[in-house]
Amino acid sequence: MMGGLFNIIKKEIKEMVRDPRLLLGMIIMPLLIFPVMGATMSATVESVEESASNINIALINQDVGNRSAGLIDIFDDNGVTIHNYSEYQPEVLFTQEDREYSVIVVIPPDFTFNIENDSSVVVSFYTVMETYSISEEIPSAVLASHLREYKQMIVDERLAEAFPDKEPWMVENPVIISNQAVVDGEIAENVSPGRIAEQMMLQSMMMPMVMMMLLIMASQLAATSVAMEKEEKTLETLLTMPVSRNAILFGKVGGVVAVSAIAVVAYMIGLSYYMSSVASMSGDAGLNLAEIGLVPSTTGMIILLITLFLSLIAALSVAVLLGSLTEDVRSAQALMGILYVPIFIPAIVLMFGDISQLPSVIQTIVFAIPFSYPILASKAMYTGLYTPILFGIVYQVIFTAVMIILAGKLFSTEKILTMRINLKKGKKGGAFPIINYLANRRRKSP
Amino acid sequence: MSIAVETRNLSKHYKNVKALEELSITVQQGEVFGLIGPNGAGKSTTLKILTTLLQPTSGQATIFGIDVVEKPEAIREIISYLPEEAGSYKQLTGREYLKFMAAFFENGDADTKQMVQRGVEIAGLDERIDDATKEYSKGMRRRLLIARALMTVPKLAVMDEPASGLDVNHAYYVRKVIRNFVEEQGVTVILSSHNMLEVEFLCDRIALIDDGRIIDTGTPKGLIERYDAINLEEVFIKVTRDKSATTNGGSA
Repeated sequence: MMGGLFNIIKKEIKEMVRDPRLLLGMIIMPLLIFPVMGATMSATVESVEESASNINIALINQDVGNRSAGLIDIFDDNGVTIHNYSEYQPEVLFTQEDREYSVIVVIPPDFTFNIENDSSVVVSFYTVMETYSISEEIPSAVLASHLREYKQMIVDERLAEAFPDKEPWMVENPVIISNQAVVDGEIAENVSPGRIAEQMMLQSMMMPMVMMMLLIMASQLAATSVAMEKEEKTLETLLTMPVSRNAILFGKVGGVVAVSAIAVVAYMIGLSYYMSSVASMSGDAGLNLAEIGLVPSTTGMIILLITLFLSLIAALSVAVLLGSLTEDVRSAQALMGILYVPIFIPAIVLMFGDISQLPSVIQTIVFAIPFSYPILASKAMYTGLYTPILFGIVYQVIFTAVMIILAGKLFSTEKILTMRINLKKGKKGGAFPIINYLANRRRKSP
Repeated sequence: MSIAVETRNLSKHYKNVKALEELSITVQQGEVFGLIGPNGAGKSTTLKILTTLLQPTSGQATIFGIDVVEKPEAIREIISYLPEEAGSYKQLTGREYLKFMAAFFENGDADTKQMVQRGVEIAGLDERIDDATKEYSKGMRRRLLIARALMTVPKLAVMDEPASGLDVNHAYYVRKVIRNFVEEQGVTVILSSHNMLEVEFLCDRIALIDDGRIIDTGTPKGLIERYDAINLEEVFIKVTRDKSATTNGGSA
């Protein structure tokens, strides 16, 4: 049995890695597409940063006093290039061609008067939009932040006048909030619960994404591999070879597991590059969860790997089963849509939320799906709440065993050759109306 | 000479179709036996039962005394099957394909190498044997598959339309290879065919089959004489026409 099994695994791997579509789609694309996405985003952010650091304004200063000089100094100190258009009306500048400025700033005539009389004054920014992109919005946002600096200066000045013996910031902030997270009984220094939750969410999104990709890719491969044997008319020959039907089944699954492992590494490399690009763009050095005591336990990691492996085998067994029911690759791929639903549900539901906060009906659905457990296990690595995961592993084992037995039964009888999903029989769509609809639709499409 | 294949009252029924109805044949060891009949006559069903792909609804089939239903694994050790529309794995080269198939017969590396070498010789594809089979023409692929079926020197080779759809050159090559191999190795062959020229060239004995039943059996020469025909084609037409007339008469 083992010789035949390894012979089939070897053949499956050879066939898969030599298929240019597969190689491109599963290994080369993730290695390219994620870094390209990351590089594109970096380039976008760089261009935004550049537009933020290189601001040109047309200044229409109508102030009859001298207090506007302080605001202009702040602009100047922050590297804003000022083009003086004080003798113009703003409307004239709206339509000017070959502009050397991106924002028109109008300081009104009563600027000094209102500032000195403890009143309010309106400073107008006009951004002439042409491309309607974020980069056009950036200069006015940066100028607004400079204006806030000036505003704070005026507020402090007014508070100092009103409360000469007090610190202005104390008058302004009668209550100061200290928001700290406690992790494992220890205060996480200078880290808010929000930052930890943010970081955990980034990590908890990774697992569902990787799991979705892995299961979808692997099950597509498995179903295609079986359907291909039928479409290419190689199955009959293979079934008459002196090798057990279980070896054929496990050989196919084993080949897919091996190729999926390579594909997952490719995805992880590509994705981690992308994630690090995104993290570096946020300007946040990133919170090191290990430093505040949030370290995944070894037990947790082992449990995660077990759940992931069982999910993979369960998905592949279902995929082989579905692939066996069809007679060509296209029908098999259409049928795989059935499997995607239970793969997507836990991934999407658990990506942003916690299982305990879901309505009981959704909780039941999530627990009933064997592919939920790697995602739950990835969270349990930090929380240490392993009990539901351990029950899940038992459930996964039973589910996988049932699927393997069903697939094995199908392979060991003539049904593997004769059984077809009822594509045409019955006006109501036969025994599997949705499956038939999907398969027929795929077949009819040019 | 011992009996290689024996079926007794072999029947195969699907829901509303009787694909095979109490079919009984005996094939002697070293014989090339042909199943001849129109489309849907039950030829392929018979071959698939013999190769353990299908299970009979009733009746019995044995190959060298081994029951195909009771001991399918033992049957697969001694047979080789060439389906009518068999394919090869497109991403593998011809040699890799032969190697993959040979590896299922666990007789050690040396034996596997010998098998592959024999396969390469039978296929006669020269240096193209190391090309991916997706590059092969239909004829080349069929030659590779014939080589695969014969390289293991099975006790029984089961071939469904071995030269079907091939051009004259490839068809001639395939028939010659089968005939020579049988003579050299003493392999028993059971095949199905629509091509009467092929049948006359290859078969020692044939069975005419229609609607899942045996109509007649004999040597090609004997059948031609019995039906006072000039060739097997005429025999075939006479037999099917007579049967059709009987059926129509009976139902009238």
